[in-house]
Amino acid sequence: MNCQSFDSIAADLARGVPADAAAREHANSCAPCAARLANERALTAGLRSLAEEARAAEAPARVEAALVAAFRAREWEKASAPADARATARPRPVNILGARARAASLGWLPRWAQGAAVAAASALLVFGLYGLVLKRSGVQTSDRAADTRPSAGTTAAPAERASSVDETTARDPRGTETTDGDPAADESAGVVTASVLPTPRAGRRAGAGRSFEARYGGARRAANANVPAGRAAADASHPQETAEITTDFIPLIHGGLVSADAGHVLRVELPRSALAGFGLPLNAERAGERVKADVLMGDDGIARAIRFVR
Amino acid sequence: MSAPKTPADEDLLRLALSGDEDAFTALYRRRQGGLYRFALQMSGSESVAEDVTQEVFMVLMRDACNFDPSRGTLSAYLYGVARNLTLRAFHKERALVRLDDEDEGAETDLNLVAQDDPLGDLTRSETVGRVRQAVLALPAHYREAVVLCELHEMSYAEAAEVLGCAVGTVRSRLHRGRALLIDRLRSTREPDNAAAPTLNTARCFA
Repeated sequence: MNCQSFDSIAADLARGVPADAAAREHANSCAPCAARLANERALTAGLRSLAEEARAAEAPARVEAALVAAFRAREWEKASAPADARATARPRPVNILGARARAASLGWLPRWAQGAAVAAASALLVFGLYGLVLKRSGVQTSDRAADTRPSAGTTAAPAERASSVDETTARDPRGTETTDGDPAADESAGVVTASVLPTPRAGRRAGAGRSFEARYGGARRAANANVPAGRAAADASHPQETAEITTDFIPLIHGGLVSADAGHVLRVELPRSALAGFGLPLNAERAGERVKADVLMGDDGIARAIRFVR
Repeated sequence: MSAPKTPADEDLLRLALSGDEDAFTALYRRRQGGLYRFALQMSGSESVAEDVTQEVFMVLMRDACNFDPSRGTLSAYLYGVARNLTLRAFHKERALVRLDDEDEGAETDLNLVAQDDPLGDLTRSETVGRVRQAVLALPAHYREAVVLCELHEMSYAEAAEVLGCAVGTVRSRLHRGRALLIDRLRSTREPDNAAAPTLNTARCFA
């Protein structure tokens, strides 16, 4: 055996492959190759220490919670779909918890400060929403309109809109497709306009499940270029696309998504500057514009989560 | 009394696709740790690792029909998805420092020119950190071979299934990746000697 041959097996020897007699003899007689083998063994030991150090690392509990929630939502959607739609519809699980969206700009804060920041943002949002409701209606009503969806280009009367806010329309925290109608903006309030989303329909989605692609998409083809067809699941096509794209739901309270067994989704408009408060990127030149958002409201009236819509 | 048989990954997947939440949860808990560590060791980022882990199972829920059990195990499939997602995050985030491609040309010489100075003990905590950084600095196609074969103790065949390449390719990438690691660890250990002339010991090519 010569040094070149020994070089080709040194790594395997260091990784525990038994050495044959020729390899052992060469290692005993050739100092440089012996040194090479020693380095390979040191590297193997270092890599094993690295592996051992990381052995306890695992995904945080919120990932499991989000996946279970998405699984349940998917099963609910399948169960509520008409029989013929069930046969052809592709499930659209919801990626309702975005780790990066949540922690993008708050990660440098200590945990208590992160919670305080989120609580403050949610309090501002809640007060803004209820301030609008009180201003518009003055009196809560329990009447439920037959159709809560404002027509495109029209403006619902303030009283009707206020009563519709109380309606439970979307049990599914994902929300639904939205209308193209733009609710009348409350220019005087300057903060929020609201409309209630219609009842969710099976198979329809509002851009849910695209958070990873929204964050990392763009290199899809390059990443999958050498992957066999059977493995390219990460690049699965979605023929049934809707026009809206949403962020993940960002919880406004602890457990805001997991605990939302019931409630409704409120479509609001906020100043674009609100994006920064939730750790999302903001184009400063467009800070004065409005952005649509879906607020997940619990039956107790507490805003539990929010997502932004484009 | 015989111990209850642990259901295989494929059985759990089949049950999950029929609506069994416990089966889905069991499958997640069984595989999430390895996938998370793989993404973490590839990216060096906990947030990327978390996102990748979540998205792997979202993809599984959404596109489980793409998994063909005749082509390999579910574990390899999940790792393959995680690999694709991690690479996508690389392109977007550019979070890692990589060795320049020009370094690859020098590795051949390094393999033939023995440098006798030893690496020393790489098992101490302070040196494990250097090993971690050195792994993260590898080019992606070497890094994934090192991570799968060394840190996840996969065989060449298992790693080849994940990467979608031949066994020989995995072996070659692993060996080159290790050579790059040795060189990098040696240079970071003794930066003052980086410019010193290297004694090229005569080699036996007989």
